[in-house]
Amino acid sequence: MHDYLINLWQSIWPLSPIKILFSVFALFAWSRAVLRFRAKQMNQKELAFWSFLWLAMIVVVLIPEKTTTLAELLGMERGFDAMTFIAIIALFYSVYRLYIKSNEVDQEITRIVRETALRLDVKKGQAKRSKRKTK
Amino acid sequence: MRLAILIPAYNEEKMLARVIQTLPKKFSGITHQEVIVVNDGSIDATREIALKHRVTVVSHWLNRGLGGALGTGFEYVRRHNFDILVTFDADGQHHPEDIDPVIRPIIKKKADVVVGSRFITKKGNMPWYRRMGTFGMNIITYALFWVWTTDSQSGLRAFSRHAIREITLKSNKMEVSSEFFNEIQTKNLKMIEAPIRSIYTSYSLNKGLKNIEGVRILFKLISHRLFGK
Repeated sequence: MHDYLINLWQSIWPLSPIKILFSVFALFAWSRAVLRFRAKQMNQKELAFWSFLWLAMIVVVLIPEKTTTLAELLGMERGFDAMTFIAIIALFYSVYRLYIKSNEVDQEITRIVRETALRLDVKKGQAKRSKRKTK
Repeated sequence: MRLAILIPAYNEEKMLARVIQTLPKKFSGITHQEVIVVNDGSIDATREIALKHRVTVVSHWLNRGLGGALGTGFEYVRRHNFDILVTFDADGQHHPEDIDPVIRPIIKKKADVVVGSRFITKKGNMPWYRRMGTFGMNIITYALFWVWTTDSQSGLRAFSRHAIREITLKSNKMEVSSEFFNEIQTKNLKMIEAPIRSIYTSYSLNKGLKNIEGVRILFKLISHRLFGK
């Protein structure tokens, strides 16, 4: 009964739910990139990069056999292994870049605050004079 | 010789006035003395309180942390031609009389950097957990920068004109205490330690470095060491 239902579902709808979910998510993410490009918050190069990335992901999800070619190039057997390997390396690298970038931004902010303070906000305090006794 | 006493202050309205008032007015061998308070974006009355005294107040409009404030102080001192710089905590944990033994080796040209250490003499009332934390940071400082110090987290330090010119600080936060040792090592500065005492009150303990912060600092320091960023 159980097998029958699954077979029935697969004959009507050949895509597994996870593939559909992921494709919808990738399309959504890509649409965000397009919206940002339209709002001129992203340039053509960035749009091309994100479009390539998300569309490539959809291709990989829908036609996983394609990744086997890539795996063979890398000396691996299964496409999935190659994808996981590349994804982990890419994630580590992007976290590292973000960390460096945020440190740099932090230092830039300090430099701005410092320069503003030294140019505009150096004040000499004045001790209150004790009341001078007259006569 | 011209002496600058640098007090980084963030929300120190309770203690700052007393700290400024108790600073010695005269040191032998010093002709000109200036107290510089770097108000690090305080949201209390730190700035106003400092301005009531005969000090120079440099104010950050954003809080940048201890390292940011010290860096600003160093830059001010570089631009105004001082011979000696002393850093002094605003929370009242240092004895004002300890400034003299810290600047003396610099006046006598025996060192470029003098670190006031709370651990050379056994007097003092530092709690054991704080002692452990500092010891841990000493070991980390040694492992990363190859400089052994008995008090890597001390706030009372003196710098010669040469050291003031050479030292550039990148850290914004508390890891600056250890970054000084990186500068001492890479710029080949001569460092010695001088014994100081510390006054621990519940106020200054709350202000100081918490042990858990040490973990975050460790990550930052390793990143500085490995990637130079």
